[in-house]
Amino acid sequence: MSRVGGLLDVIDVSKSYAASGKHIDVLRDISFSIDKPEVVSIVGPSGCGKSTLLRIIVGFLPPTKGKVLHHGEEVKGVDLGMSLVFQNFALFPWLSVQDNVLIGLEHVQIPHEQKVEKAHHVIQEVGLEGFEEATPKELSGGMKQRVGLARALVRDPEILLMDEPFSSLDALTAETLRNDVLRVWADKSLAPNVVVMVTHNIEEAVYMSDRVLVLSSRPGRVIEDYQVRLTRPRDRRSPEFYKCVDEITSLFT
Amino acid sequence: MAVPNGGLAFPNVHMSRVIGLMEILNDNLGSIELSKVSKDYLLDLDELLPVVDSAELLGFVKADQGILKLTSEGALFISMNPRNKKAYLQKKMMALELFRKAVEIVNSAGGCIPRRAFLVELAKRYPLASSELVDWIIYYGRLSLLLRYDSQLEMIWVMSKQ
Repeated sequence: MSRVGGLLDVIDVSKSYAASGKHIDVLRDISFSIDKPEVVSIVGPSGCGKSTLLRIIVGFLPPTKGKVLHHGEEVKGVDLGMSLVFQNFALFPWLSVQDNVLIGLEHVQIPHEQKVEKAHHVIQEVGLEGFEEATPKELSGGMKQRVGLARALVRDPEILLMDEPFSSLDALTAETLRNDVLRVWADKSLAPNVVVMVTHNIEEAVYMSDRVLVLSSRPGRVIEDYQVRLTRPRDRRSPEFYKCVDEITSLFT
Repeated sequence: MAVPNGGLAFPNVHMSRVIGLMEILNDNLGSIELSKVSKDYLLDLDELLPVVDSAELLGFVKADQGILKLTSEGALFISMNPRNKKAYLQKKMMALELFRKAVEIVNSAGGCIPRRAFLVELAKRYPLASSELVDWIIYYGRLSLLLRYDSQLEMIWVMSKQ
């Protein structure tokens, strides 16, 4: 049972659906806490409920049982202290980069000029300065994901959630973006303090994370809360790195 | 070294791929076999070679007999924050003859020119110039904050006096 009162507490979360007369358990009794700035990856077999868990945490979906607390307050509906980056970018094709980013501030009550200033700032931070007027069709996959990241960061979330953020990108672009996300997380002048990332790439999880939550196959349960005790920057060629990858991989079998 | 863009020396891949390659090199102590990058990252040579070419054109990587090496400029570039990267890239772009000529064309038109007219002027100087090359000039121009482009109006502007 996780200690309640941390930055984020997931307490006995279960999720099930009724479909075609059948009852489907997707997640069962998920519990974990995050109480300091860190990067946490969630890994597990396909279909184990990783993305569903992310959507419950951010408030897009209610759990069937259990609850999510953000600084002790139960998450009911969208929590403005958290933002989500989607796997397939989810940009509005008719809006410019700037306007897509401004969508992230739609529910924030500040003057429009301040919103534009905040949008410019995060657009600079993700390296898209110069492309404010561009529309998604003019952008590469990596640039689209930077827009998604900027949109998530623009309202200064304390917790950034990412759903397989690099899986739609080519290997070289994904390499760049991983390091950019780590840079943003490590920059104390920028939110967020916590990154929670779903990935199917164990090496990516070890490269980026302080902890790796390993879920079982459906219904997903936490079978291990693996601590990655490697200093950053991490050397992917080191025996210690391979050991971590092997240990996590062995949990799947 | 193969010259991209059908003989016209200009980078023709997105910068994030160039940076990705440089970061792989950095992780491998600055040097790696091209074949190893291709194998480890499941990239065909058709896909990888334009990235190598572009990185070489920008002075960030050297390729010699199948071995890729990160230059000192490349190592410096990947250590920079986004703002400093932009400033550095401005210098790099203006060091490329084709890009300098491109900026001259826009300046000669009063600082602003329709895309079609730009291609016509470019082709007078570079007969092999294509619409795809214009796309890359616009991309790198925007990336280095030297050009601005409105895709609805199809107009190109110079951002600052060069």
